[in-house]
Amino acid sequence: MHRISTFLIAVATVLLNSSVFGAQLESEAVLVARGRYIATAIQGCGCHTREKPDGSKDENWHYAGSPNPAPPAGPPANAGWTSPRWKRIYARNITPDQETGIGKWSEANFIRAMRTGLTPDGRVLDAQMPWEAFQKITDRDLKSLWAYLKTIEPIKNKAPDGIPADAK
Amino acid sequence: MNHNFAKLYLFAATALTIAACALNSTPETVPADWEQTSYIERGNYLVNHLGDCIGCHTPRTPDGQSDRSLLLSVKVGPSQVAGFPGPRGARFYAKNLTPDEETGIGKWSEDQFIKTFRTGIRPDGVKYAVTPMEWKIYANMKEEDARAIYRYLRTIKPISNKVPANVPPQ
Repeated sequence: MHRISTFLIAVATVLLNSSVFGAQLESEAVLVARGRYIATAIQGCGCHTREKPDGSKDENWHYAGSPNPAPPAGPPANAGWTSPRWKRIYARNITPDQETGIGKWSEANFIRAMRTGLTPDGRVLDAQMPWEAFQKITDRDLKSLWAYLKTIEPIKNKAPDGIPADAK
Repeated sequence: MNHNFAKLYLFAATALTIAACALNSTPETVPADWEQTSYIERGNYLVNHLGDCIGCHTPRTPDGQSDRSLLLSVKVGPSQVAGFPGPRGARFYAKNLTPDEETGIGKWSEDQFIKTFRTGIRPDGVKYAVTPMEWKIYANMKEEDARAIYRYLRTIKPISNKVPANVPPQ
């Protein structure tokens, strides 16, 4: 009996200390706090927030993506980017808005998009969204970012569709 | 006697080797919340992955991928040559973050880097204006993370490239 309980304690200790289970055992509050730190100090995801005329970020537009309609010129967060694939490509709304944001995504959807560029609706994100660099973000940090994104204000804004490079 | 001495010597040498290995492999003391075991590894993670500094500070190849051979030098490339558009005709150029002495940040001390990173004021006193570099956000960065970034940046290849001066809003 004593042997079995010692064995079980040993197994439990190993599981608790392993990074996989460790990440799952973190409370939502801990994940949100870390996600907020990442988003407000390291990876601002600034492309997803439009700029005010003075060049500062519009805090009332936090993560709502490129405005629709987008202006023809100006800072990329407002007017979009060019890339080899796109004449004009726009940042998406990543607030939890159900219709125009990512409110219907699951954590798994988010992690897949961040690692592979594939979205639940079948799009392949352009390299302008640096998912190749994001591939090596740890599970823990992605879960934290996702936990934080779920807590921000939903904003309704359907970001404009991209204009393909070969469009007339 | 000689034989015993040789044995003792061998024993001492082995013990010293083991001790040296143990010291070498002792992980650097890092903040408890890090998943990385050293400042340089953390800095690599922040620069190349989580913070994606390379997105703006490294040129892209024609197919749109970051050109690793020009890591953080901003030598050539579409947005890097043309700069990033800002308000009212402004043009911002990503800076050379390699340790090149003349055109990069090779002469910056760790403390100068941390101060610049957290205040947006360069060692020569020039205050960076509103730019795509999100100073307001980086001001919130924990000092350990800023140090990790600096220490990693010291390890990359210096590349000589003088970046154009920013064009302020008109």
